[in-house]
Amino acid sequence: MEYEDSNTVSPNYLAMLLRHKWFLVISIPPLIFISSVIVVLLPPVYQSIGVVLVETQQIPQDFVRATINSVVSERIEIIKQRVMTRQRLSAIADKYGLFADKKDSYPVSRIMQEMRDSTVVDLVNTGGNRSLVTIAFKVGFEARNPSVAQAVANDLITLFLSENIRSRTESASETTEFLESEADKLKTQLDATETLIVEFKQGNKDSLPEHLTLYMDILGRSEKQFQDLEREQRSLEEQQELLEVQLASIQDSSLEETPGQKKLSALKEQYASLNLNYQSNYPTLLELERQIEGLEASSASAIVPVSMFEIEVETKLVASRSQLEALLKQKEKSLQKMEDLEAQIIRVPEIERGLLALNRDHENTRTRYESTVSKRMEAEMAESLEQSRKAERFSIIEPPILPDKPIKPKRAQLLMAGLGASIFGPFGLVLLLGMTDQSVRGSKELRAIIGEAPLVMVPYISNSSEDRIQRRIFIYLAVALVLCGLGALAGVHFLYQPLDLLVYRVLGRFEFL
Amino acid sequence: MERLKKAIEKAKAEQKTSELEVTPSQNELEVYPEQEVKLSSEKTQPMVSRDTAKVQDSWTYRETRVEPVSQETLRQNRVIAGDKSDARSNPFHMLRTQVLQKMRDNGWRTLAISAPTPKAGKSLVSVNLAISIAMDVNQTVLLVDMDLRRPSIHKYFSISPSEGVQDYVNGKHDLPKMLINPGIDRLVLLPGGNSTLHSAELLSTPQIADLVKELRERYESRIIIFDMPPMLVADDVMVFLPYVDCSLLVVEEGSNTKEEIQKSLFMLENFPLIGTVLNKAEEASQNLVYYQD
Repeated sequence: MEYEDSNTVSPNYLAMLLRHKWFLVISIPPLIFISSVIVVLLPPVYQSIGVVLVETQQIPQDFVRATINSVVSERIEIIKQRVMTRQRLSAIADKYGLFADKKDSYPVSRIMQEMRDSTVVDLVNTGGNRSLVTIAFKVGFEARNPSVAQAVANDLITLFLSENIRSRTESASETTEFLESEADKLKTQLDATETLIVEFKQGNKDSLPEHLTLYMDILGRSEKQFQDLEREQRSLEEQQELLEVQLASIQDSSLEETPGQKKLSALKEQYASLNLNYQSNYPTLLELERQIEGLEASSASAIVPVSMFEIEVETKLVASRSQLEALLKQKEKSLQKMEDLEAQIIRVPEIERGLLALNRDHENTRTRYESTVSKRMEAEMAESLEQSRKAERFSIIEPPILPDKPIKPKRAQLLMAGLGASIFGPFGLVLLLGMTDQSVRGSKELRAIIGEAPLVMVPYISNSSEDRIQRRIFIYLAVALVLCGLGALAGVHFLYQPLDLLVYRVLGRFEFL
Repeated sequence: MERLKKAIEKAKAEQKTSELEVTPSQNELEVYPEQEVKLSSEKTQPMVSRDTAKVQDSWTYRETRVEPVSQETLRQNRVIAGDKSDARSNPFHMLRTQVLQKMRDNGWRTLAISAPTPKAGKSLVSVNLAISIAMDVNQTVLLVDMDLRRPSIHKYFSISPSEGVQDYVNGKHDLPKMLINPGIDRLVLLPGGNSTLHSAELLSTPQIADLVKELRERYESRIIIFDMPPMLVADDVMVFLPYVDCSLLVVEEGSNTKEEIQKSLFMLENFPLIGTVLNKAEEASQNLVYYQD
């Protein structure tokens, strides 16, 4: 004999199914029945949905820009988060008595979760592949009771709209406030720079660049003045010289010595020579000294009448001298003034530079301030836009209606599914059993294994007691099934609802009638 | 042999006409007074035709103990090979034909029947095959219960446990006393025994070899069928195989796996295997007649 090395004994599925046919027959109908009952009994769920249109701003954006410019879909999502808070949802749940019976057994978080799951928020988009623009959105609610569904949907939509308005106006006014405070800050800064400039100018008022030409003029004039003065001085000095010469000549001519004068000069000579040899307290010296003094005194009083000319000249000379003095003083002053001016003028470029910097600061601050002010004005306009609801707004184009048909459960589909599961479940089980059955079945398989067919195949030999038992089981099962079926029908008919009515109701659930 | 053939043909012919005849004949053939025979029911048929030929072999069992069993009891025990009206006996007759042919062609006299696992039905097959062979008037059969852990042959005949192979191994060598005839012509049983000793490795004892030798010598003309233990339970069978001429493997549908079958075949590799029998087969239940290719 040869052994064939086949991989596995390939299962014969048909034989498998036939072998377990009774199991299938017994298990499938009850499953079908149970699944059908479940499908029929499932409570209906109604859904009410309203549609809100996202209207774009009527006034062109070029004229007034709204403060809020994010993508609509994002905003709707944010509003949704704000609306579906615990607080609001539980307020709605309490208002309509949703989950009233389950309040004790369910934790709050679960109730919230169910509320959220029952809420529908869908975006209605349009546009090509790249840019999807949201033009509207739907808000709805599912509940067992149609009017509750509608009422809650209404409440939700209202919440959405009011939340939208609130957040928009809040945003606009926030913007204005912010800009205003910024403008104020800048104004303060601006004033500060102005003060700086003023102080600087104040501190350097002598060397202000704007006075430069003036200083130059003054300097020029001062120089001229100085030159004039010098000329005058020179002329004065010339004059003085002349006068002095004149005077000298006059004096010279009258400079014959009088006897008194001669004596005086002789005394003086004497005195001088004696002084050389003798001390000052030498009596002769003392005598001489006395005499000299006496003579000088009397000569003083014994002045020879000077000629009027000499007096005139002397007067002129004195005048000239004082004039010159005054002139010199003036000259000094003028020189000082010039020097001062020069110093001032030299400082001007430096001051100019400093002023330039300060002015630049000032200009910058001013520009910023002005732009902020203009922005604030825009923001104020946007705020006004929001308040008069002329910006982008939500408007209900379809309020939630009262649903007349439930959206869930889809009974026909579920029934099919139940049918399928009831059939394929047991089938699958049997096939699974078959797949895992590694035993040999049938002469073909045996032949595959050992290379030769078996000599004979012997059937399962049962004895009469086994036969009897089998028959009995079969009868009992059949009777039991029939009795159960009848009993169930009877029970339904008498205890619940007459069968004909029930049939109509069931069909009604499937919307056939 | 000529006489024998004529006798068989005559017997066959008479069998057809005298199916209802149940009175035992009074001549040489001694029949079994305690055998129950139902006269009323048409279905009941004698296990063997009473008018068998006067063959040389006497069907009287002088030494062998006789413990007849009724047909009804046998049917209850699922032993149906003797009932020609029961279609379930057909496979056994077909099996008999093939087995006898093979054995006669090769001069084999001893056959071991086993299965990979317990409860495969090998004992039942052994019993039914033995009966079927016994129905062949040319052949006598000795069925030996070698499943010493769980002797079951006697149960199929509703015979209470008695001395057998185990006792032989323990020293009691009185073979003829141990044999039993269950009321069926040409069939004799050697039960497993009722010793309570643990039968581990019993089959590898030299006493077993002695037993087989004695059986072969004593009952030369008989076909000896050995009902073995399951092959994969212990290696008893492998040890025993050299003592027999050939073997038969019973495979249980819906239970034996490919591995089990292959392992068993591997163990039988070096010994002549007549073939396999697929037991508890669905196909057979559906009345498919199987023809060997």
